Amino acid sequence: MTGRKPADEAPIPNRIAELRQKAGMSRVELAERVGVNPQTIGYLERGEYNPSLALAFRLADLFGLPVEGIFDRTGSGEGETR
Amino acid sequence: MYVVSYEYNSPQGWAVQESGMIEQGLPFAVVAGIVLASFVLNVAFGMRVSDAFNAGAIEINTPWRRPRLLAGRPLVALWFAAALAFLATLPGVVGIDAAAAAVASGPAIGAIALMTVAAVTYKRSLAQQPTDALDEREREVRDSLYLISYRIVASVLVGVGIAGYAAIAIANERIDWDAIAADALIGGAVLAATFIWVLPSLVHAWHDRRPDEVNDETREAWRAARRELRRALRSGSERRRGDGSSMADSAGPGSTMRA
Repeated sequence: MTGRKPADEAPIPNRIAELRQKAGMSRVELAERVGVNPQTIGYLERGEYNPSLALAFRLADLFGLPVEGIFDRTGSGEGETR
Repeated sequence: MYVVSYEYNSPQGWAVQESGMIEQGLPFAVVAGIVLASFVLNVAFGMRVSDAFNAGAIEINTPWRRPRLLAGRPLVALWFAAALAFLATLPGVVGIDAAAAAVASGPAIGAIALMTVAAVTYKRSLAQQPTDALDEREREVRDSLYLISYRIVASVLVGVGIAGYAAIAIANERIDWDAIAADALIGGAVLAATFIWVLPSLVHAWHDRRPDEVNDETREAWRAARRELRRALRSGSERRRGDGSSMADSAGPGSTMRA
């Protein structure tokens, strides 16, 4: 039960954990800044939940990057954090 | 199945009937009260109650750890075990002595009440939370819990209906409702209502891949603290050993001479 994740939907690798640690933020701080639950940040970082477009943009605005700078749809390794 | 009969023609008979009713009716009144209170709190005045209780943000990084038995699939198994125990103590269900059933009904009601509270409060009662208290992921989780629950309830109802109809058609018998103790019917109905109420939380517990309430950050903090403690203990013991050997070195010849 992780929310938006149909069986045929592959997880989208992202750099949220890396960017958060670079920014010196805890999950709780990041969650407060983007208006979600801290547990949801954990799900995002582990790639167990693909966010809505609105949340993706909020994260992008916060880190000062374009959305594709955080999420790597191709899974080429650019966005791999694990 | 058995039918309890009382003598109504004498004042003593009424007394027997009244005490019997209180004895057997109390457990159901307690469970019915819990269900009614939950209905009032969650459905009738749900938004007001949730506004009052959930005024603050939901605390996620709870420092306490829920026992593993009361999380995930073990919780679901325990809830059903408690429900079966409750059913077994209903009058006439398994044919045990009425007095023994009455004695056993107390613990059985306590067990089902405890398991129901444990299930409903699972992961901060996510299944019972209003939309405003949840973020986008949690809303989707909660909505999917209800969807799955509706499917389960619908399947059970259809299954029971078909099985009952088939049994009646094949055996050509009618259900003798009079032969079933009223308390058993009420108890079964109360349990069914409780089941429907708690089902989304049970579905959540069953499907939850991370039933452990302690999140990664907390776990990492504990690991770091343990590493730090171990390092401190090691350096302390090394220092003591060093002090001991240096004392022995410094005191060695002298002590020998003194000896």
